[in-house]
Amino acid sequence: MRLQCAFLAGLLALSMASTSAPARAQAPGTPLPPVKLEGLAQTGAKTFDDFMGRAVLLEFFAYW
Amino acid sequence: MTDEGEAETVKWVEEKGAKYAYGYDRGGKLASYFKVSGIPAAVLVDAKGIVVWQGHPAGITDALIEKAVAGALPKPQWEWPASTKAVKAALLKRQYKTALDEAAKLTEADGGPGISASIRSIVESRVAGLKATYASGDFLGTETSGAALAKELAGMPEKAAVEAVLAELAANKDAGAVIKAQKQIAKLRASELSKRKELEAAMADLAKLSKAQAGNFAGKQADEFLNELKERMRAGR
Repeated sequence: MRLQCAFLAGLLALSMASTSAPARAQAPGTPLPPVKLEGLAQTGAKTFDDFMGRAVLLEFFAYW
Repeated sequence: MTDEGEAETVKWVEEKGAKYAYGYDRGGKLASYFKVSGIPAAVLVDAKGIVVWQGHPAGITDALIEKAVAGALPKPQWEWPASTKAVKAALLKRQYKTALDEAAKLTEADGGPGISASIRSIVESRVAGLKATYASGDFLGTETSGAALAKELAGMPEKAAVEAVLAELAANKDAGAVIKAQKQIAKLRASELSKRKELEAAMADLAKLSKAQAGNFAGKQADEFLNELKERMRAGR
């Protein structure tokens, strides 16, 4: 399947390490707002815009 | 993110053998937009750039993925040859006519026909998506995405179909009240609601909206959000 996966890590994710509550449904059905990711790795994409036209699964994670 | 954090992340990725692309949401802007309140959390965006699902990663299904990849470009843009620069720029601005015109200039070796077909597929999917949105009774979504889509399809015959949907919406006597209620619900969703009193007030508003809009899309949205807030109250969040 043509599914590109981008994983996001950041200080916010790390700061949420103590909670296990799931994400609240917020925006299904709405266009993704402009996304600015830094340090994209393990992909040929230079910016998030390079994923346009492809399905993308964003997963928020921390590394504990 | 600090250098130390980045080093830890790279180490984690290597240790876990994760093969997926990853990046840094510095300042947590994206997480904040999605109101991520716990991890792991995932968001699925379809090939048209629409958020189609949000929740715990374990909740994603094959059906959701299949729907999300419908009409996707056959190759990611970073694998396109340099000759496609103008197509990429137009797609980024969602100027589909320009993108198609530029794709028509590409040779078969540069993937021109495939790229053109994908752009047409994206356009068809978006028009179909708008019609489905209207049919579902999501009048605010129709109004918002329809106006944007009409601009993006400037110079294309598909724009007429979008304008027809918007004309139907404008003529719909029930739409105004539903849109007003949907905006109220959206405003409540955007509120912080961190204090118990704020939660209770929002729940009272939603209960009124649910009653007044029973049986339509706004009523359903009010019910869904009301149930979410009840759950938050129960969980003490």
